[in-house]
Amino acid sequence: MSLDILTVNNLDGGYEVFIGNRRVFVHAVDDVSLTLHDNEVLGVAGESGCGKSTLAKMVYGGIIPPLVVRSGSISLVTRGGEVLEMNKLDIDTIRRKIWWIEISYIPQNSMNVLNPLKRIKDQFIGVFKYHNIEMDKNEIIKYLKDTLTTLSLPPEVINAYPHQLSGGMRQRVVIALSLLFNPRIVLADEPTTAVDVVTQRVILSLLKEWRENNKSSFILISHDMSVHAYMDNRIAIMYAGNIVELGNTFDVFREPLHPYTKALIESLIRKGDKSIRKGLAGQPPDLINPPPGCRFHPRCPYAINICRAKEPPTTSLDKDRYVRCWLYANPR
Amino acid sequence: MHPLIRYVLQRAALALLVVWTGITITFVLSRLMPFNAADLFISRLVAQGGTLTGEQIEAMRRQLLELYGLEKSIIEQYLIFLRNYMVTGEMGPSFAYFPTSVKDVIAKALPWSLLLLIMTSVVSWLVGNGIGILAALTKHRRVSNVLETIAVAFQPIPFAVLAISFLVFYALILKLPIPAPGYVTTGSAIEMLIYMLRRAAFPLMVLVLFGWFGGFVSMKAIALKMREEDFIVYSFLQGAPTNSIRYMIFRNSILPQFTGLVLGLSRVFIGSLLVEYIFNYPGIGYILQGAIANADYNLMLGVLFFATVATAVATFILDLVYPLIDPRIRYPGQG
Ligand SMILES: Nc1ncnc2c1ncn2[C@@H]1O[C@H](COP(=O)(O)OP(=O)(O)O)[C@@H](O)[C@H]1O
Ligand SMILES: [Mg+2]
Repeated sequence: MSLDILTVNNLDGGYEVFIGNRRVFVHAVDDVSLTLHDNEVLGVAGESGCGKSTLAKMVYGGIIPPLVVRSGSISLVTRGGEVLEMNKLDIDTIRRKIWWIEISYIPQNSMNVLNPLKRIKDQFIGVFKYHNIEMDKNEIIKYLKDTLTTLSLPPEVINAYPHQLSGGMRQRVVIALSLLFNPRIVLADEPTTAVDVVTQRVILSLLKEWRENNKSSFILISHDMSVHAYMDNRIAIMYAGNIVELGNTFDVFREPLHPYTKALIESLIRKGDKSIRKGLAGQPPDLINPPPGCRFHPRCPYAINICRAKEPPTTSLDKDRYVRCWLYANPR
Repeated sequence: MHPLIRYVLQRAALALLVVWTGITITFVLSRLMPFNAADLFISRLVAQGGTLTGEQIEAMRRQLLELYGLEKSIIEQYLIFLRNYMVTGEMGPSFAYFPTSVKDVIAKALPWSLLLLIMTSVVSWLVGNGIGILAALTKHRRVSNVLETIAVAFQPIPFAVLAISFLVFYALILKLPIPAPGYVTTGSAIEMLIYMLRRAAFPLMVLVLFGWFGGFVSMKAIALKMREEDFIVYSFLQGAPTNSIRYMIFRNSILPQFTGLVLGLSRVFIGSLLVEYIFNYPGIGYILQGAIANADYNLMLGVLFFATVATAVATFILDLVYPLIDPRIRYPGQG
């Protein structure tokens, strides 16, 4: 039985923003519970605007206004076996003990997050300094060159400034940065958006290999179901701030339960399939005023009356499989 | 040719072009005036009650015209003017300090002005940017907002207006003493410099008092925006301590401000001329005042010429220095 190294309970939050003078709340993460096992890839899928990145920021603990957390708890088991209640720690402890050492983060716009005035190698050296980790400069450089080579980047990259690299190269540099201290958890938010499909596959397989060697866990966020099919052990489907389905990747792809999951998987191109893919009509709802009942009901081909009135309960089908949909909520 | 050399030459040529344009405009303006230097000089003599006969006046007029080269054709005058200003530096005699040449008058005042000007620009820049970054990073929002209100209110007012208002306030309302004029001409170089610095201290204070607004306002705006930049947020999420983040914000915000430092030189120029005059500080501003009061038009042209050269040189230096401090700007041909 695998250990849960990260447990998220009833996490709820969003953005407090002003529209004109009116204060509104963008309810981007609505009562989300998740666990992350030791040595696995947990995927988070869903169209853009569903709250995936917000969930990542909240799990990481990087709460920067206008983002606010309204409730929920996150506990983390460190490599040393210590159990930490992240929501009870002050930001300085999180910064020193957790970030980059236990959990690292690849932000969504990773090709634009490097300091424009610093050479790549100095940005790596900087991270050592942030965590007061002593290391010989030559050793860092050598280590760096190796890491970058594993991500199929030329070693000269270390002397470049960010603007001298392509978006895809910068993205790989940021990935390399996140793996620097062999963290137990890597939170990767759309890590391969700036690269072409071929490079994407190369990077994903390198990430896969790195993870298997280091026995780390990934939370991998992507709107791209083919990325999930390739990478994930388990997958969570997110719609309008809710996790609507969660299960082993194989099971979910073979037999999707939630109508939204079905639509996402149907939009994938299968080998040998020549029929035109039908996409899902419409867009995710406005999270300031989400629809009542099941948030998916306006787009759902199977919607029944109760879907419009009441939020669906979570139905567990299996130890690691659940769905939030009235179609499966039989009152037996 | 190496691209770097070509770049420097191009920039230098541009600076020369600016100077040339400045001289040409100066020349055209001076010749468009409804009177000329010789007539002016004579009319002043007459006005002072000199007992001169018509012939004497005519002879003198001719002599003066010759002295200023005003009897030649306009094209010839222009060419001589160009040669004098750009090649030989001979700008003719000054009236006010007759027969000292304009060159010598300016040469004597220039070090004083440069000292004040450079110190003013540098100190204002340091003060403005220093409190600007502090205001952007501080938790005491109230203090920084008050400073900002003051700076924003004063910033658009021309420097000259501020300087004059200050004088009125200082001398007429507070009735405080104004330092006496005069040069010290003896003593070692060190003693001279100390004396100059002492003389400069007061005008410097006044200039800085009104000189920090621009640096402050732009620094605060840039740094506030910088705080939200993706790479700053990313460093925070990497676990960078607050001081590292502050330094990073500072380092990345200060770069665009160097333009302000060099261009500040030219912005402060007119204001400092006024302040020099107000405080009897023996620089260009002081002699310019003398030049205006005595209709010393050679001297005015000389001073204008220096203003043009100063701006051109400042821009040139900026062009050369920028690639050294900002890696995103490269010299052509460089990696
Ligand atoms: N900084 C922000 N301020 C206000 N609203 C935001 C902000 N960032 C994201 N949102 C809103 O939160 C919702 C979820 O966004 P996000 O988490 O980025 O979704 P995803 O990553 O799934 O595309 C969207 O409706 C988006 O408009
Ligand atoms: Mg996102």
